[in-house]
Amino acid sequence: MTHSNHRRGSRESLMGDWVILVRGDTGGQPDKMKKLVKIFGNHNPVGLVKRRSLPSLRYMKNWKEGLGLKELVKNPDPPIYVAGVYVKKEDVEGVIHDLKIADLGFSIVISGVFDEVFDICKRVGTGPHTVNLSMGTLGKTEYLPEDKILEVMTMCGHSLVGEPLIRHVIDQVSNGRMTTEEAGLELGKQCVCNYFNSVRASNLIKEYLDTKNLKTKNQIN
Amino acid sequence: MSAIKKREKDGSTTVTIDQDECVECGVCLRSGVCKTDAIYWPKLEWPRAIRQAFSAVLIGYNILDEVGIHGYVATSGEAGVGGGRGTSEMKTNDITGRYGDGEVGIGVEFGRPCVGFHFRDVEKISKAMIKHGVEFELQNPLTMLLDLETGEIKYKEVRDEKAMSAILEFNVKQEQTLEVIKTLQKKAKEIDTVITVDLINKCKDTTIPVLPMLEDAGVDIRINGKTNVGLGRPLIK
Repeated sequence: MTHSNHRRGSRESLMGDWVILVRGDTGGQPDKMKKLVKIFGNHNPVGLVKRRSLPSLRYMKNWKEGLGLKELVKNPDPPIYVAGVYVKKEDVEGVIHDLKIADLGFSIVISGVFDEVFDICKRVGTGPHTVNLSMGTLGKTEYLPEDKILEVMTMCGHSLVGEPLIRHVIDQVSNGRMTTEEAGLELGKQCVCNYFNSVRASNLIKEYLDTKNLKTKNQIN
Repeated sequence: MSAIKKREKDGSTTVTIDQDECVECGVCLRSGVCKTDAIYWPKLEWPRAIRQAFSAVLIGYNILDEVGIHGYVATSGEAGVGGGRGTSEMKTNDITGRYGDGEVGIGVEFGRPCVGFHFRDVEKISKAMIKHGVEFELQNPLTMLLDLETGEIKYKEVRDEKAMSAILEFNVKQEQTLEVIKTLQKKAKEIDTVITVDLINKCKDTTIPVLPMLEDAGVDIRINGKTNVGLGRPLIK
């Protein structure tokens, strides 16, 4: 799975888009996994998911239909898979710092801008061990939408947040039927791995509408 | 995917799902977009069911077992709860050592982002990669469909099926990397979809050994991607 490897965007935009993921089957004991979930939850994730069996337990900031952050962290089931989405580098560093001290033994992967991730590693005193570089997209790239839509779309690497849905929620926002935040959450619901950054999506939709000189519901009200 | 088609006639709207374009990902059903609950997911038969296996994340690959295509072993984190399109690749390399010094792992992601692909397009790339002497990752579900000597799709009935995404995974020696990339760039012009390419490399201290070679050759590498930060234990150095 490489579903967080090809997130598009400028450096500035990607500085608000980080995913930390862990494969619980690499470290073993359930009590360690519970500690890990707590650490993930302590550093302001805007998305958090844990899974042992289906359905996954999911949190997205301000998503009323999903679990609250505290509720998810307190859930007693030890997961075998955890991922957190963050919008600030210092929060990512906080997670890695605490994980280093806890020494839980799980393989930990950060998806983000490489030199910034390497800087976190240096400051915390670990890795980097292995990287997955993105060579971008080849072939019939004319099938792809414009960059701003692509930036939203690639936050679900499994392609479950498609162009028609993105355009639909943009249309809803521009017609005053949805806020940008609601639009980001609506898109995020489709990403069952919960890697989608709904906060960044909301910002990208606002930027998209700004470039088209269209108003958001927030501005209309 | 744009499989949902809307038609306006005489003041009424009809919405249909184009079955050729539909990859059976389940998003339309899950989203609740149909206010009249007209969307349902029938039990899919082979070979159409392969669309679901490679599109509906977390559904898993049981269909392959059901039709007698054995061999895919989901990594334990995914067992029983479906799986992704590939393997754990570099995510656990600090404890598995799957990618060693002087090696580059390559992932060719068909259909991503959001274009989808036909299995016949996989064959164009896989056959070309076999000529480079690569061995495909045996735990990857796509590998099960391939003849490992020729790179051809073994099950001809799936060649024209469309799915969301699949990943061809293999390792090369670092010095082979550029020639394989050149072949990928050439073959990408022959397929009717997109491929997104991963290059996996074990770091040496704080450097990425393959990077200077790629930069010298003008290969465009994005500023972001994934980093295994080496907290797995026992650590493979």
